[in-house]
Amino acid sequence: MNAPLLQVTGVSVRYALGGSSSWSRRWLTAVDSASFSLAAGETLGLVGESGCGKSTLGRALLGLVPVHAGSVLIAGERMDQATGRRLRALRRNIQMVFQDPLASLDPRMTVGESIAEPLTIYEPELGRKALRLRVADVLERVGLARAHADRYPHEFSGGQCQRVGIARAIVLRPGIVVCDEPVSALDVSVQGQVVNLLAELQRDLGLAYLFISHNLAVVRHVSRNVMVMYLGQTIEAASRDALYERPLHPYTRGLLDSVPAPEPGPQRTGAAPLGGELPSPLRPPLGCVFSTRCPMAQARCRERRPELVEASAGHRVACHRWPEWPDGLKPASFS
Amino acid sequence: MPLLEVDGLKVRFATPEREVTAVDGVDFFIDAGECVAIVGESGSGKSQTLLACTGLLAANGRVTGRVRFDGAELLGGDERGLEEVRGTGIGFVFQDAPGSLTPHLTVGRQLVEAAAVRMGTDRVRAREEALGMLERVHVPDAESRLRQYPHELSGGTRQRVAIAAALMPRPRLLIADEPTTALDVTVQAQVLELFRELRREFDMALVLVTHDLGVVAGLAERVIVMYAGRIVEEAPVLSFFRSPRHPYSAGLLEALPRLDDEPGSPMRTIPGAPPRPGESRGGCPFQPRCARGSSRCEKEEPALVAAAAGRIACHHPLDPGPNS
Repeated sequence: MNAPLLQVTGVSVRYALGGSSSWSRRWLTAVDSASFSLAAGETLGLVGESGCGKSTLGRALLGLVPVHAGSVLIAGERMDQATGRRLRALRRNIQMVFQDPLASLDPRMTVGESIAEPLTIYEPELGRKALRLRVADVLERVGLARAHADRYPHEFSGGQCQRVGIARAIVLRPGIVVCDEPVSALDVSVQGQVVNLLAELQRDLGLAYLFISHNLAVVRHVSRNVMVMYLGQTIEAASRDALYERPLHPYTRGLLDSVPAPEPGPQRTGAAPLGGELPSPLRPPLGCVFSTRCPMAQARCRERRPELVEASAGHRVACHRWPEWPDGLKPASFS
Repeated sequence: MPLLEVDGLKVRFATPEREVTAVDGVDFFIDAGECVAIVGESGSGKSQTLLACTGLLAANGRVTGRVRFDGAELLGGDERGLEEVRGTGIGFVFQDAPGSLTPHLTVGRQLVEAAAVRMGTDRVRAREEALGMLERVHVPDAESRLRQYPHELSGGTRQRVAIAAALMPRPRLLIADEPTTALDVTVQAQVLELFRELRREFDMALVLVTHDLGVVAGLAERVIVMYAGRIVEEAPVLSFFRSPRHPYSAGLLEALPRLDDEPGSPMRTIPGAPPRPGESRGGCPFQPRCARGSSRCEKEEPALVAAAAGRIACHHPLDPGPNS
């Protein structure tokens, strides 16, 4: 079997806060020992609420934030040990699409210049004409017109800007694209256009996506596998169907139950499935990170942090109690 | 007599290049005690409509039309009357608390001031009420929150405090502009539950301005859909969700990603993008994106007319369902 395109093992991201001496310094663990692998043409959905570390993990893969521990392998090659030309080649292979399409483009550059910028860095030998051709080609791939290259970002709608952001990410022909909330800032009527474009590009170019989103319905549309994070920890990871139909972690169940159904009806009187709020990441709970809000928590949950274990093939969960519901938690288990 | 009555409301903004019409002739009413959702995408004019009603527009905005609250004219009247209505008649909750709370005042100070509008200067009683209201909206550890500043609170708690502040003068109408959009989904569910409780208890009308149809389904009794600065459909919540009549409403409902969609299937979309404010070309504003459009739609803007239990502005509306 070939090595997966992206292999992430035990990646942690920590930030030092406060003083310069080791006495006063405190550590904030934004991502704690995350592991997953991603094959070409596949999508891994990464979900969780704000502050769970999902965006930080995505950024760490691109080297935008320093990795404190663990390893990132791209096509079997360790990113942290690569230097010079090899590191450039690895970096080129992983690109990013950002949440805010307008803010991620330079307002003073034409769209064509923005898209060409990564090319001028990685392929400086390209002449002007070749550059324009590559830009025109990628613009058409994302559903825009060649003529759009000479316009500025403010002349585009949100959806069109995001197409430009995607064009900029794929112009180097990477194998992996990290999509960080790529449709969250877009109007509902436009979100689907961008999601479908990403799916089409994946089919045509064999791209692997790490799809970071808080929108569980969108993630279900696009992902083969899904990983759920909470306060920096991976609390559950499984195939899409297992995660949505047989979630083993109470937090995953609570997340799914919290999505307001766009149907007026009996749910209108329902209580919120999960109480409380995210604890401060500076003072994470001693035991299970979710124990302060978990409707199923027991004494041991507050004392000892559960390990991420393989409950069944490809289904990992970090919960002391999952063996009590091996077939998954049913909807509205907590009311 | 409706609690809030809006007639022919227009909002224009003067920009360096030209004048932009954000709201283009909007009529609606809100009855006492009911919950109405005003739904639309960015640039639809939904937020500007409500800001204009209460004189809270940006300085370059110009409003025409009539707005009556509890029978009293709000537009063109003197600033004092408007102030009073904003103080005690109408409460506001915005998307994120920076819009609703003052950053340099403690939570207690803000709540006490909001109460003082109604009760005069009895600070001791006002503080008691503030504490009671914080407990009422389930702010944990309410006593110590009174001494904290907004930035010291989490997003969910901040929104609860903003709701408490808006409720202190016991308004008869609460306007909530995207009140759950900035919140995480589990906290969003908590805040929706809170709104349901408060409506039962305070007997106030609630206007929800939102793009989130899940929130609409969970709270509203009546839905007003806006597109390009106009109302394009109005319907009771059940018929809106079961049998929308405007092609835009139907498209929005279809485009909404749902947890029970076929996994891995392509998402449904509406082609094109909403027009930007001021980008008017005559005819039906939705025509360029509409599958049912005809040449008539290109030339003639459909009027908003009564239909079944609501209103519709479309030359080729969808069939009313059995539920309407």
